Amino acid sequence: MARRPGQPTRERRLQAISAWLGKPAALAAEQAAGETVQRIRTFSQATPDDLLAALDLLAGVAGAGIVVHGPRGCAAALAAAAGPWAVTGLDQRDTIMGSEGAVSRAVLSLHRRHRPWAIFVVATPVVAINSDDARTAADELSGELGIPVLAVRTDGFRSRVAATGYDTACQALLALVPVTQDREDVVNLLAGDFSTATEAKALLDGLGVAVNMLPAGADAAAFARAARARLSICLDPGVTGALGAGLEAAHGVPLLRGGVPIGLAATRRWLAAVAAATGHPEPGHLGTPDPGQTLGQTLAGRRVHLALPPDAGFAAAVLVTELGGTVSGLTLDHIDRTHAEALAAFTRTAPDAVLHVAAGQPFETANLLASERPDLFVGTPEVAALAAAAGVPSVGVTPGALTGRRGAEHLARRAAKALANPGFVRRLAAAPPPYAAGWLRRSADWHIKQEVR
Amino acid sequence: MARPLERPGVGCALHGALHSAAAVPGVVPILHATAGCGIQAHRNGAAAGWVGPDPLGGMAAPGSNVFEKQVVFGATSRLREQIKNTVKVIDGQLYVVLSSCATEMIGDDVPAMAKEARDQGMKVLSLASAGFRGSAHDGYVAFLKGVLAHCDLLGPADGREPLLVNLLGIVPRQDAFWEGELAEWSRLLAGIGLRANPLFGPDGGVDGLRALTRAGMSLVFSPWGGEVAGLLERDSGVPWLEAGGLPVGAAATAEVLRALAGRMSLDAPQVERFIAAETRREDHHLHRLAELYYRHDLQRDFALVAGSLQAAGLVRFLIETLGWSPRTIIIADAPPETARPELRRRLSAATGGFDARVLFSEDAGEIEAAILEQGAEIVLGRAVERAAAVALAVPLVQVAFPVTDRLVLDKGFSGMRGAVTLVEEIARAVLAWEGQA
Repeated sequence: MARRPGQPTRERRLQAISAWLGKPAALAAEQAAGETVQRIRTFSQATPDDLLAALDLLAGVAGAGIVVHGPRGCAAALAAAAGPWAVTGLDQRDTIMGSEGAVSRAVLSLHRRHRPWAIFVVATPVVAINSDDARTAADELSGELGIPVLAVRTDGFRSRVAATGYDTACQALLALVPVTQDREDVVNLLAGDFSTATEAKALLDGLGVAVNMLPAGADAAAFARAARARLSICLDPGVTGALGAGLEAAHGVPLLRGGVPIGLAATRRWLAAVAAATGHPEPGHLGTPDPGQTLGQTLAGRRVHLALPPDAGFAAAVLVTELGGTVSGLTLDHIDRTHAEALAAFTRTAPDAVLHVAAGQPFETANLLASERPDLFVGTPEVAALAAAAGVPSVGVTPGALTGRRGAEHLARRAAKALANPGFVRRLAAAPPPYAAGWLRRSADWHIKQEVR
Repeated sequence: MARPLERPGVGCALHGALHSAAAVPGVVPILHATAGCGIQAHRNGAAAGWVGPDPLGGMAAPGSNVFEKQVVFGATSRLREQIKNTVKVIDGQLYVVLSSCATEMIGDDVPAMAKEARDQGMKVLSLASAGFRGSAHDGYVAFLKGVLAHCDLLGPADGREPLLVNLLGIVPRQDAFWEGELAEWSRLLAGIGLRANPLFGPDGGVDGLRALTRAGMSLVFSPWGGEVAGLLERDSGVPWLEAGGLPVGAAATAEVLRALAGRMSLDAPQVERFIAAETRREDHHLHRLAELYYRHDLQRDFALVAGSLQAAGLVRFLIETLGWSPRTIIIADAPPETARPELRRRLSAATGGFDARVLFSEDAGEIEAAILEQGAEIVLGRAVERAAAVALAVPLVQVAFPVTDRLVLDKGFSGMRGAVTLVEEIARAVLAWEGQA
């Protein structure tokens, strides 16, 4: 059977890059000229891949099962996951002789014990290199079990941008949405993280909009409802954007494109856009002016380094200015042409900031922070811990925690605490860093080079 | 041949090797792998009681992150570049290149790259540590064997240290309580006049690796310590003692300390004074437990799910000291077949007179079914056993990886102090479950 073409990588589809360090204007100019150059690192640290991204997204689907087709370590990230999962547990012999029957045995066992309503068979580098055909087995098992058994063709090496895995997972998720001509007065709220969706749902409750949340926390009924919705709203376009676009293309559910509800002004715009798109009246408080007056200027005079996923990162940069601060640096795990508008705006509001594109790579962050010396670091918890070790007062947040007005208040409160007492940070920074003094004296972009083709 | 497993609690060989290398201060791991392998290990390690990564583990682990072009055409030149630059970016005393499934499958000559670096004066060794080679325990063994094979890189070894004892068989992070266990055994050995060589954690280091061959004894706690101990005995004349798992509580710990003292000809009165003091301390705490024991019915029928390192010691303590009754005992880390008879013998000795089922299984579904079939009034196991505990409506005490209900920094369940910790954790779980905490 001929292989289906794989999901195009983010690099190919959106000219995504995973390595950059410099002024935002320079990258904006590259993007505007349509000449975004792919860069690589000559030294690198651990970074996520498309398999991890796909697992993150798929593990959030309620009641579904996951079979990771590979050696046991390829499922290690699921160690603490709640839902049913299994791994085919390939060994050395299987890498030579193939692993015939392993997928079937794992799927059948998982189905017998847990009766999931769908099962994802997620591929790994080993089966990608071996060209192991999990799709045929998945198709046969779908028929045998009477539930969707879906092959997810991740591979761990085609893309340098882990978010490619979100797109691959979204293709599988779309297959869970049955075709229907029925319509319902409900809005799909798309988010990969349940806390993000929950915060946004609370905002939409104020508009009187009925919400169908997916894929995080969604069950079979939520997926069945997705095609009946009058609109989809994507809270993390870099994660679930492909699901929203797929619902639009395959089921005619329009996708509301625009910013994410992070920051006060952005939240107002987002709510107004949703209200307009759904025909609901805007709530009165949307007209409240001057976010600074209502929240205070917690970050007045403070220089802040942000490290968040791209959509949330650009939005949080605006939130920092709403709180009176200045963004001195912005680290994003990747950037692509869908961020062109946000990058242009960031270039205008923070022309002197450093733009750092890196998934992980704490050696660059340590170097950067040593020269940038921000007053505050705001990033995902694992990155915030590294910044704290470098001596920078830090706030660990997920995008969900920044959503809406409550998110802005949360950041203001956490920032005030971090700045008021950096005792923990001082204690952490007393230990020497693991990096050579010579590295910390070099330019942080030393190991970022243009790829030679 | 592929053996599908539901929710196995043990990571792959690469993860075990990476966690081991990163847990030795001064050792710098270099992953030669596709992107994702290091982060998988990081996420897995985070299930070891919420602890963050070691300074060069997790996201900080150097890695070649090979991509499509290198998978197709080979990635040795990328590895050469990564080794050269790692030495410049990160100060280390020893650099360990860890091969992965992808880079072994495409046939990269990783040993040649490591040798090339050594020829340039860099202290670099390589390990065949592809995930498909086995479990995290196998990765731990591969790391130590690799170090021993290249001990010339560690510098000249001085003379024998007769009172130094290598602690072997406790796998960093895979054994969630590894730091606490190593600390307790370092304390216990000091108490009888010996010095521990823990290798890993804040008291470990490259000096400890260098000292492996000079120790007076190796103390082996799990089947995965035996192979390394055997090599040390064969090649360096370091004798070894099999502890039969981690002993829990005064009685079992005293047996190991006495055996060690006998083999190493220590001063018996000093050893007995220390054991007596430790036993008094445990007695003191057990008396303070007694009222709660009877108020909350702490004499329980139990199910236990743990690895080979912990199972026998925990079972013996629960039966002999707490007066509990075993229903199901599950060894969940697939020990080598050769190690199973001895493990069964120890478990039989501890459970004699009880109708307990003993099962070797890594499969969460099979484990859950066994627990539910046998029933229990409390489950001691992993976070994975939460569903079984809920189904039985009994408390769960998380004693083995993955541990997700608390931060684990420096606690363990072995030795005398570990037994007290175990009692505290049992009481905490029971009180929380009864809503009285």
